[in-house]
Amino acid sequence: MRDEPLPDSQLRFDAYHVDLRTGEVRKHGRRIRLAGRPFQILALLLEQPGELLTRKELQARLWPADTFVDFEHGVNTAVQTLRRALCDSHKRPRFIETLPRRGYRFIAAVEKIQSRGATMPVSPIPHDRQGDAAPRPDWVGRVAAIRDNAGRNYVLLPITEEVHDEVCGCEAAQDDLGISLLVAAEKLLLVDCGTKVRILDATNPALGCKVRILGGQFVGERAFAPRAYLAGLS
Amino acid sequence: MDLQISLRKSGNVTIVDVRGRITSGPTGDAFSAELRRLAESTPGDVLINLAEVTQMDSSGIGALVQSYVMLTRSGGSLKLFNPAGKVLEVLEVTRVNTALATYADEVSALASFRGTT
Repeated sequence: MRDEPLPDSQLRFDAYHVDLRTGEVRKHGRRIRLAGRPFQILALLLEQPGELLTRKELQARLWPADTFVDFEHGVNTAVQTLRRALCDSHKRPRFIETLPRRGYRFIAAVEKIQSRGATMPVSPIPHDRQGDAAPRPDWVGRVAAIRDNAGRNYVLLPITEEVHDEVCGCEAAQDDLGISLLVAAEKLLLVDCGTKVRILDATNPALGCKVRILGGQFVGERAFAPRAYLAGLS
Repeated sequence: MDLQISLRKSGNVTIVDVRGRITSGPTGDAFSAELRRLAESTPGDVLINLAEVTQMDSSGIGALVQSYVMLTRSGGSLKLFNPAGKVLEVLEVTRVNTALATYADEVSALASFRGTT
């Protein structure tokens, strides 16, 4: 049986800030529309990140026992709405993973925001981020190497925050042509792992670090690199 | 190795055999120019054989995607077959292998134009 929601009602994951008490969700500080069952499902998932939330639990907690509805359709629609709001993808989930026929699991690292403004992790840090501290301002000026923990030889780096958001929208809509067009237009840079970059700014954990590319096809360009793509920083 | 491009026909489909690397600079420019010429002069169905492409960067991706858009707008199409190794990885990372129909071999690629796969 899952525990009751955490008493502290404010949580953060990636660029999102969730207030469980007021039902507000913000991305980069801007409020996004999410209410009703999609929000309730998010709240349930955030109670115990990394653990399975079964479809049966969802039914029991969100639909009263005497409700006569197409529960399967209801939960699918609500999860779809939630994913869209979070720019998440069913095929390549960053936040909500589907366990076929069983339920859902929240897979991103979640932090509880304490009253004094500090944060503490409430979920196990994903394997691919273990050992990665959040970006720190004192990294500015340091040189790091691009890496990919999944073992690929290339990563894609957006050149602006707007491109980052556009990629997010493409991911959520499974718009692969959109991603390809951004690469073709060199707004989303295809960078070889091992390429050296200099940290220009490290104040936005959601976007990662702003970097200057020091080698390869895009030498001299600026882009944003998530913390997980930067090796050699501690 | 420099870039070598040769064209052949199979029915109404133009097959472009490419050999070498398609990277920023002369090879990327040559590939891009050839695809643009093809899209402008004989818009139709085009199939690109990537079996002997050893390296590709975003200039190659740009040429493929722009040609795909041009050909599709003029009623044609552009498909790929036989990417391997790092070229396949580049196509996967940039999602080109799903945005543009990509096949493992020439037979299945040609069959797709006939609507049999």
